[in-house]
Amino acid sequence: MNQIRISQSVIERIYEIRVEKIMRTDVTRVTPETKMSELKYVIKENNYACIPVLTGEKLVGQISIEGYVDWLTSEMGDVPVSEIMDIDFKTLHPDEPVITAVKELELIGLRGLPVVENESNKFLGVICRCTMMEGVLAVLDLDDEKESKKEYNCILNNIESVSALLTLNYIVEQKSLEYGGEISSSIRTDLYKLGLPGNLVRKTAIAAYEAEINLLAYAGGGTVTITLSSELLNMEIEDHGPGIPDVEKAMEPGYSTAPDWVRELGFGAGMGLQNIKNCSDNFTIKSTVGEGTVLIVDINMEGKCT
Amino acid sequence: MKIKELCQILNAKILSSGHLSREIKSIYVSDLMSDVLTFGREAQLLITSLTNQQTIRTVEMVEIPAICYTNGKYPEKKTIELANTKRVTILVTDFSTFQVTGKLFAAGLQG
Repeated sequence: MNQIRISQSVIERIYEIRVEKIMRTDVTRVTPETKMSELKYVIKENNYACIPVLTGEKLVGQISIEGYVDWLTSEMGDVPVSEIMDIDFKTLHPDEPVITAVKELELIGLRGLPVVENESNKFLGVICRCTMMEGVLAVLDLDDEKESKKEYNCILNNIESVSALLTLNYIVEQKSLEYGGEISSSIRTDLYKLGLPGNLVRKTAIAAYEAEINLLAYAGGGTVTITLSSELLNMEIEDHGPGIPDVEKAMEPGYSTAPDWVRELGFGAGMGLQNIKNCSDNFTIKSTVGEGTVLIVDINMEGKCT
Repeated sequence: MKIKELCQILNAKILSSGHLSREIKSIYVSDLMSDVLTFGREAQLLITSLTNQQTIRTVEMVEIPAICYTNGKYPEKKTIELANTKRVTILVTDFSTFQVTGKLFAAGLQG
């Protein structure tokens, strides 16, 4: 059976989430004078979590669903909430980690816990089991988007030299094709970190990925060198593999010499080189049988750096 | 359409969460990763019956946020781990690629 593995960074972030981030504030509150019979609808509105009892803004008690059921089965009649409410109960503070809330809920077996301000006991909201997970997921999602949209300052913008060049070197080691893409993934991340425009990064990553698959499938590895200037991204992919006997033929869409194991991975349909060419503004391929192959991919810097 | 909603239509299991609230604008169906690299667009869902790690790498490059594996095919553990690192959502459904495509087309999604 496959299990969902939660990555370490996610676990770390779950520990960082504070109660205030995921508490519900849309809960209905009642006063000590509210009649017990009126709670019927409130319980449903509050999603069966606890019902906070407030005097002014101060939390003075709470009715748990369990307490309400006890009252229903007793013969106390329609008494005010103050006679039934718990006054000695656990509360959460807004700056506590969500993990504390989870532990408390498990420990007490309750469906919800009220959140109050540290000293004043001012009521702020409720953490309830049913919406907790949703809240955590929403926070994680939000953090992620923030992260992926993180804007880096393009360092090239800050360089005044007329011919600034930045070179990045990557080595594609001979490994199982299953690992194909690791280097392209690093390239992609690095280019984003340098603040290059998304469109350019995307084209470069796709071209690099197709080339990386080729390096692993046919050439026993190779190197990728990226040189950046303010107008151009130049990527050279070099290997010392067997070389391509008929380059023109190899460039034809659909022409492939790929063995089955390459095809099983979803490649080898004879589109790789063509795809690399399509991503480039200028594309050259030089290959010598017995010596190796060099691909040169030039991509213009369209638009401004972020 | 949100990934969560797609999940309901396809009666799919979520194996890696990624960005569940992400909006999916269109669909791309292929088992050939080179085609996905050429024609795939961001904010798409990739439907495929190929379940290896290269599917995750491919969508990472094209910035596709979610993959749906069809025919009830479960990926290897390594694929799920990679998807978690790259924040890609993996869905698995018992429906065939044809059925999945049909259901999403009927729901108003386009290619």
